[in-house]
Order: sequence, then structure tokens, then C-alpha cells
Amino acid sequence: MSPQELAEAVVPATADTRRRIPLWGFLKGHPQAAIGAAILVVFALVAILGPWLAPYGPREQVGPIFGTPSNPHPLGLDDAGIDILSLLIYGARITLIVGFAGALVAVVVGGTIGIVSGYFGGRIDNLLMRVTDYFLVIPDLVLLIVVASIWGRSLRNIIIIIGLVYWTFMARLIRSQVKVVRERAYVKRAQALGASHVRIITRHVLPQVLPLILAQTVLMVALAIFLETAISFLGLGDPNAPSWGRMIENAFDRSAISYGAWWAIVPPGLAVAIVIMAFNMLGTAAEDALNPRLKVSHLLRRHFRMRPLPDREDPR
Amino acid sequence: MKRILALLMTLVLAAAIAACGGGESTTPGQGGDGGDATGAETAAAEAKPGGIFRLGTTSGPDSPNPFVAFSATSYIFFTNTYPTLVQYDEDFQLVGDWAESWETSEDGKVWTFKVKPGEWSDGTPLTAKDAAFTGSLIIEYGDGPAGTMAPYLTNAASVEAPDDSTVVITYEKAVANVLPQLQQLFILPQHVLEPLVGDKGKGLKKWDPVKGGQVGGGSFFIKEYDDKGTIILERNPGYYGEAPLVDAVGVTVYQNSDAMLAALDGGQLDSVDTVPPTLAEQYASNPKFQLQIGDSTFVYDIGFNSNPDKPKNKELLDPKVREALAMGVDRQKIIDTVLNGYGTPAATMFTPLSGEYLNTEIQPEPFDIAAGNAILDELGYAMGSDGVRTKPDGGTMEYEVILPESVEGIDRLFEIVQDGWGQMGVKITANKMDSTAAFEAIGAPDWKYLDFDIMMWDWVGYIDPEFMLSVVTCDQYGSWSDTGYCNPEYDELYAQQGVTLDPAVRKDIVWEMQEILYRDKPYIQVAQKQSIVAYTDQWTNLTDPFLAGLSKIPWEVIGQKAS
Amino acid sequence: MRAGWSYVGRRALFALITILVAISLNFVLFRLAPGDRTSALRCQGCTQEFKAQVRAEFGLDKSVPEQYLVYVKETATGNLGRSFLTQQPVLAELWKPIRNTIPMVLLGTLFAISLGLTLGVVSAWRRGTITDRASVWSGLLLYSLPTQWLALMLIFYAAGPLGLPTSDIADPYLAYENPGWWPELVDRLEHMVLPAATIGLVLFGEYTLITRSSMLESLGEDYILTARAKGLSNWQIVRRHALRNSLLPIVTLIFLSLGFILGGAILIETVFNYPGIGLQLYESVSERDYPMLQGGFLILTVSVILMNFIADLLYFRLDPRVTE
Repeated sequence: MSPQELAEAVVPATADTRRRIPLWGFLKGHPQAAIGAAILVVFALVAILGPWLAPYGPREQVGPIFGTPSNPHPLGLDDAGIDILSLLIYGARITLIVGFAGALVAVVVGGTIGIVSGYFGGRIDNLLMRVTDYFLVIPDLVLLIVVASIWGRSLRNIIIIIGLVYWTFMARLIRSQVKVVRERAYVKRAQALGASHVRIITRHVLPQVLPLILAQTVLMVALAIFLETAISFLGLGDPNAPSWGRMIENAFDRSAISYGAWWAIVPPGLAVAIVIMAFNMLGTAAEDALNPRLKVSHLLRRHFRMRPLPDREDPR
Repeated sequence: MKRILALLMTLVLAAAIAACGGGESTTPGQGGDGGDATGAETAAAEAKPGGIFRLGTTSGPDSPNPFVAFSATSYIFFTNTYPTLVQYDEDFQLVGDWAESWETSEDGKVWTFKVKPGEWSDGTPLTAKDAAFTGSLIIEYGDGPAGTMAPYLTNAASVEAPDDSTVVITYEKAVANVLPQLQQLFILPQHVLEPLVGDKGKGLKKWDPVKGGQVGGGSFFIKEYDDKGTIILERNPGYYGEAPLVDAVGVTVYQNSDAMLAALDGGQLDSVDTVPPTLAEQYASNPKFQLQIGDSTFVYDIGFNSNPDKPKNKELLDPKVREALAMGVDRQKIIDTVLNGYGTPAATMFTPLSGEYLNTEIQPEPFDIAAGNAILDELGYAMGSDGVRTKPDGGTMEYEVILPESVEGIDRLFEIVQDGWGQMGVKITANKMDSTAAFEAIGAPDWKYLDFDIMMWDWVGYIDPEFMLSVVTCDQYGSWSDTGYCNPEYDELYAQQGVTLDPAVRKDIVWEMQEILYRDKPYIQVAQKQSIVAYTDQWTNLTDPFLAGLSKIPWEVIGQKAS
Repeated sequence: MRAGWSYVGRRALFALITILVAISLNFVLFRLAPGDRTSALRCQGCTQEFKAQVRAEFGLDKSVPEQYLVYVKETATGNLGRSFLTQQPVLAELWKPIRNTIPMVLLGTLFAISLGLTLGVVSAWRRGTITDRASVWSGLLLYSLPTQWLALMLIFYAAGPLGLPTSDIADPYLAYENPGWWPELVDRLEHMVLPAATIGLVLFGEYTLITRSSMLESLGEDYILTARAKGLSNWQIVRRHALRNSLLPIVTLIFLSLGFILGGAILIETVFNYPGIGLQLYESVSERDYPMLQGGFLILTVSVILMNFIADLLYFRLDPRVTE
């Protein structure tokens, strides 16, 4: 595995994703994807059916502060005497919404910039990449703290922030792929025939890049959820939205540790972990299907969002 | 706010002591000494000298410079390392500290203090000249760099030292609370500070007192200073009063209660300043620890923008609307959930710690959703189909509430109020931000108090009511005001109480002021948060388990158990 | 190697430009925040004139472009201003928390590398077996856990049994008693273990996967077959060839991640009450302590840029395929 691939998570030039990958075959061939998908379906159902599934309300005090897990409340009560199982169910909705929305913003922004940059090349490319580079080096959590303080703590802002932080990765990835696609015969033919840029991009480039984008989006959702949990924990989450991250924050702030109320902290954390893992499993498998040689890019994403090592051609 | 916190600490301690006398504190379940708050009964002889007393706090000092500091803990260090003329004793009476005695002139404008001999920690003699120097600095630069100390010499014209042991303060007019003010006037070392004052006092704020070792003149001096770690105070051999039994006192700052309590449990601390209410019972039933619970001056409040010029949501200016809303606040549930029972309902800004100044005739509004609904119905705010009331001239009763994140338990407080008001057809959403932003948002735009509607916060006052009464005066716009309340009638009474020397008359004025506030309701006072302090029982005579910013801890009797 | 030097030159220039951009955008970022230092100054004696005076003192009354120029000039000369909160020079105030974070982060990275490398080698060698799957999956799982949650779990379940402290960087009273450098060092390490372990557990998965992939690739190479044919033992093969070829990606990874971990440790520092740079910046935000924030941000971004630059150089030096 060369550093080139390490850093850029580049799809090698040979992968032609016009080949359709049947979904069922995909799931069968990649059992981890199947597991991941199954878990996600379960959580999605919980999120959608939330209010009907939850035994108690999200504000309903049903016992003492930090009530221990016992029969009607298998996961115990939180710092306000609210049933934790119910909170988990209600929280699923928020966590998943934030995850998807945040990833969506990152994909749309990053995708657009990546496509523009990769397709037009030249000075536009250079300029956009410099901007990207700056965003890559900003310490993301610190940036988050500052921006949450500036813009206020609301779900909408958190989603925007997540998008702002992670678009860079998508941009670079898609740019690389677009560059490859741009050189392909059918694109060159279309250009020779005088097709407009927009037409070429939408008809030829986009379909090629889309599967990759989708695979990355799945992984991006995992990141977004991770970030939302982190932000909530630092007290910057939306006070009106009881996400899993907020459950951990509430417990921590109200001395759950000293109290010994592990039930207020373990379940939400596990829920987040399981969902993130499921997304990772699904996304990794999708990546594998598209590019068998790629195995590690998703992990690197979180810690240094694909900072750009030079292309092999540059030093010469 | 944070400075007030310091006072809180002191008051908390003082409260603990006074509470013992007032019967409000409970020291559940331990036998032996330490349970009784008044150390007077327990023999002081049982303590042995030496050792370090280790304290834990979650609010750290922000600066060792009195002209810069705002946080409560900073004031605690000042009280113990700089001389003050007078201090509160265990019964909350002001007694002489550095001052041996004093007299007032007939017109009340000239105060003469006789001060005890002593030395700064570097051996330089402590004399009245240090007081004159400090006082003159404050008078001259009180509008500028010395602003933080200006409140302690209000209306003072001069501070002089005719000889080494006499301090003379001359006031422009008779001030009612000279002594409570002087209790916070920290005397600074002239020989250290004078060369650093700088042009127009510019050097005052840049002064780093601990660089090269702090020169202290109180019972201790700061030996080591790490505002995010541990600060160690060592005994000042030249102290003018009775020497402390301990060799040193350490204060460790923790980011959160859990870490602090873990240290207490693990034997790395001897005492902590606050125990979260959720954990009080654990400590109460643990024989290794003593718990002291008592009144404090911490009061949660809901504040309404009271600026009549505010353009939107003017219905919130109507005292009847506020009264209805007040009936939607389930104080008992708040006390049970947020404070785990360790609190009392509040009706005014004062708590029993303010003694006779607390207007006990005022009762908190009853929690009565039906009655609140009736009032709002009568006023013409029809309930909409979605459960939110509509206003006759359009719009609904939906508001944003500013929440400062630094207030403990504010989330749950908000949620309970939200539920209650929801049942009355008033919808609120939280706009949580850090304290700086919150305060800005309240004053927006530009300290004109036009934008915000509702906020929730807390106040921690002094024992003397002057400060708390001042925060709702007109000239606190842009300063301490967090409601934009401005009432000339009230301001007049405020000025009056400031110069009324007869305590009984003053008390009447203060009571009347509380009635006005209750009627106008710039605040709905919610609940007093009691103070819960814990310490290990290896120490004895701990009437004040924590370093107080205001009241003097009897360090001369606190010590390790002899047996 | 003319191509080499122009490469280095180009990367250096790139780094410098990015630093300049970082400085500028830093400035913009913090000027956008509502509230400045004077709004936190609520003192009874503070008149509006006094606040104006403070503003002037901090240069907050100048126009924004003017403030920008002053900022750039001062930064270039190493003057990062004075903290609004403590009035002390920013660089000095930041140095202490940075000095606290670095050893902890390094230790954590060490944990991650050791564990990751070992598991990676084992996985690659035993490809397809349960051992392989377990190593990879455990890495993945731990990576997915919310960092602060993992830290809390360690506090709950590991601190007690292992007798480790769960907050701060040292026993505050130990230094006061002056026992000598060894007990103090041990004390520091004890306080560092859990936070570093958290970092290690979160990060080792990456190292495992990279080592594994890299080794798999190398192990498939021809010269390995030759080595086997020559009769070299497994361990010798691994050590001499496969591992060496994995060196580059691993080293690159180390430097890339180091740059970021410094700022990313805030979650861990919050839970463990560890007074590092993350916690410091978090506090400075609430205090609207602009100089501290700008300084801290700058240091973090510069360190990332520097680390990346070093990674570039190493990549260039170490990759046998790059040099002609």
C-alpha cells in the first residue's frame, strides 16, 4: 500500500464503475455489509416508530434521580428520573437525522467543489485546493467549539458545522476520481462533439462518481454522528434536542460517575458505537466492492481528513 | 457574576456557621465532634498543630491580582493573604481584624482605625501607610484600572495614615455600610506595588503578584500558584493575629465534581466546597465524612426584559402576565429534581442569610396552573388549537429563553418551567450559550435591552443587601443589570437606604423595595440552592470547611485531630 | 538531486503560504464571535468610559482592517498579545498547557503504534483466520466508540482496580513535599496512563489496518518468495523485508496524526480534568479571550502544517519508488 493511496484514498485508474453491482449479490458477498445494513434498518425503524415504541415520555419523571435498573425500567433512570430506554428510543431519531443531514451537507458541498475542481482543472483547481488545504489543517473540534459559540447551539447549526468540517475530504476524493474519469474516452468524445460542460458532467462524470460518493456518504454519516456526540458532550449541543450525545452530557454533568450510575452513560455510548460501526461496515463493504484494494481510507478520515500528499507526477 | 460567586462561598460558609445557630443546618448521622457547627462548644485543645489542609473546588481563581480578578475563589485567596480592617465572625457580626478598634466622627464622615502591628511575608513591616497607599490608589483610579475595588470605598475622599498604627478614612457623606464595604478592602503592600503603578495606574492591571513570590500580609501568603492546579498558602510568620494551627492550606481546582469527589474519596483532599445535591446522601451516610448543609445566597431566577421600550412581545411587560407565568413554575418539582431536595422556595432576591433584611411577609406565588390559565384567559390571550395562546394583535405566545451554560442544573430547570408553561399555552425554547454571550444577548443591542424576552440565571449576593438591590437600578444598565429594569421610585429608595444609618429604618426601606420588585416582577425568584459542604473527619473544629472569601475562618483552631 | 530540492522548496513554500492563510483566517474567525472582553467585565465601578478605556487598551476600538494589520505584524515578531483574562503574555500562558498535552499524546501514540503494529503483523501473517478478524474488528469497534465515552468507561472500570488517578496531571501536594524527581516522575506517569490509554485504544485500529495492508502487499512481492525459497524463517522475512516496506506508510501516518491529536485531545482532557491545550482553548472561548484563542489556534494549525511538511519530506526521502 503506497503512501499515495494512503493519503488520497484514490480509486485506481482501472476501476470502471459503470458495471452495475447488484444489491443482493453485494450483500451476499459481503456479510459484514449485511450485518451493518440489518443493524441500521433496526435503528431506522426505532427512530421512525419512536413515540409508539417508547414505554414512557422523554420528559416523564417516573422515579427518583438515577433510579437503578429494575423491572419496569430495564435501563434505569437518568438524572431527572426519566426512563433511559425511552430516551434512547427518542434519541435515535435526532442522532440519525443529524448524522444524515450533516453528511448530506458535506457531500453536497464537497462533491460540488470536487467535481468543479477535478473537471476544470487549472487555476480553479489550484484555488479550490488551497482553500481545501486550509480547512484540512484546522483542528476540527476546536473550530466546532468556536463556531457553536458564535452561531449558537441549534441542530441546524450543528449540521452546518459538520458539513463545514468534513466537506474537504469529499472534495479531494471526488476530485481525484473526476480527474480520472475526465480522461476517459467517452468524455473526450463528448467534448470533441461540443457538448456543454454541464451536460458532460451530469451525463458522463456524475454517474461514474456517484457510486463512490454514495459509499463515502455512508461513511460520512458515521463521522457526523461521532461529531455530534462529541459536540453535545462538550455542552454545545442543541438544548432542545435530546440526542444520545446529550444523554451522556447530562449524566456527566450531574455527577453520574461519582454516583455510580453507569446505566446513564453506558447505553447511549453503546448505541452510538453500534450505529457508527454499522455504517462503517456498510460503507467499507461498498468501498471494497468498488475498489478492492482500498481498505483503510475510512479510518484515516476522522483524524486527518485526507491531507494532500503530492501526486506522484508533481515532483518531477 | 463570578465575583459574586466568591461571596457565595463565604456566605455559604458563614451560612453553615450561622445556620447551626439558626437551626437550619443538618449534620446527619455522625457522632463525635465536627457535627456541631459552632466550634465554641467543642474544645479547641483537641487539635494538634501542623499539616496541610487540602481543599477542593470546582471554580478556580482567575487571577492573583485584585484589580483583575473576578472569580470567587480569587477572593478567597485575597481574604486570607491580604489584611482587611474588619471581618465577619461566626455569628456574622463584623469585628475587627487588622483593626483593633475604631471610632466614627459625629457626622459619620470620618472613621479612625487603630491597627495592629504585623509584618508582610517578606519581613517588611505592615503599617497604616500600606492602607493609606491602597486607599489612595483606589480613590484616584477607581474610575479606571482600580475599578474592581472601587465599591469598597464608595464616597470616600481620602485615606490617610497619621502614624504607623492609625488609619483615617474621610468620606464625602455619611455612608450606611462602611464596615461591610471595608470587609472587602484588601490592603496591598506599598513596597511591592508602588513602583509598578505606572502612568495613570496602567501598571495596576498588569501586575503579577505571584511572580517572584507573593508578598502576603494576612494569615497566609501564596507559596505556589497554579490556577488550574493547586495553590498553596503558607503561614505568614508576621501575621498580626493569632497564628493558624496548620502549616499550610492547599486549594486544588477541578474541572468537574466527579474528579474532585474522587480525590476526596481517595484521601487526596480534606474538604470540598460543594457537593452536588445528587450525592449528598452518599456522603451523609458515609462515616468517613462530615456533611454540612445550610442556607446560601444562591437563588435561581427567571428574568423578564423590563425595558418598556422593547419593541416585540410587549405583553411580557404586563405584571399580570408575569404573575400568571409565575403560577406556572413548579418550585417544588424544581427543588426535588434539580436540587434533590436541598433547596427552599424563593420569593425575593434574599435568603435567610441576609438576616432581618429578608422580607418574610412576601410569599412565593402558588403553583396553580388553573389559576394562571384563568388570568391569561381573562386578559384575552385565547388558546389556539395547537395548544399555544394567541395574542389579540396577532402572533402567539412563543418565546426564546436565554440560558447561560455555566449555571448548574439550568437545563432541568428550564425543562420543568417549559412543561409548566406549556400547560398554560405558553411555548418556550432554549437558547443556550456561554455566560459572556448570554450576558451580551440580554443587553443587546449595545446595552439597550431591547431584544431579549426571557432569561434564566442565578444570583449570589452578599450578606449586606446593598449590592443585590443595586442590580435593578437604572444606572446598572450595561453593568450588572440583567433585566433592563429601571424604576425611579425604586432608585430613590435605593439611594436612601445607602445613607440611612439606623438599621431599623434601613430595614423598612429594604422591605419596601422587595415589595416593589415582587409587584413589578422583573424576576420570578425560583428557589434558593442550599450549600452542601463535605469534609473528612480527620480534622476538627471545622466550623467553616472551606476557605471563605468573606468571613474569616478561625484557622487558629482548625487542626488535625490530636488523637 | 535538483528535482529533490525543488520539491522540498515547493513544499516549504506551500507550508508557508498555508501558515499565512491560517493567520488571516484565524483573525477573521475570532472577530466574528459576539461579545468581547469588555462585556465580561461587569463591575460595579465600571463606567462606560472605563470600558472604552479598556477597549482602547486592547486595541478593540480600532477599525477591523487596522486590527488585522497590527495582528499580523505582531504575530510575525512572535508577540501573540496578552490574555484578556490574566493579562499575561499569551505565548507564556499557552506554553504550559501545551507542555502538558504533548507527553500525554506522545505516550498515547506510542500505545497505539505498539498495539497496532503487533496486531497488524499478526493479522497479516495469519490472514483470514479468527485472529486476523478479531484484531481488525476490535480496532474498528474501539475506533467507533465516542472518545469521551471510552474515557468514562476507563474511569468507571479501570481506574479503581488499577489504582490509577483519574484527574489532573500530578498529585498537587507531592511537589510541595519535595520527594525528589523519581517519585514525581512516577506520579506524572500514573496520571498520564489513563488519558494516554484512551488515545491508544481509539487510534490503534488505524495502525493495525495500515500495517496489515502494507504487509500483505509486501508479502505478496516477488522478493519475499525468493526469500522463502532461500529458506529464511518467517520472522526473518517479516523483519527484514515486509516490515521495512511498511515503514513509510506508518511513519507518514504518525506524523499526519500527531499534528491533529494535539487539538483533538480536548474530549479526553475534559473527562480526565487534564489541563492541556484542548481544555485551555475551551475555557478561552467562554471567556472570549481572543488573544489566547488566536494564539492557540495558530499554534495548532502551524503544528499540523509542520507535521505535514515533515511527512512530505519523509515521504520523499523514504519512498524508494519516488527517487529516480
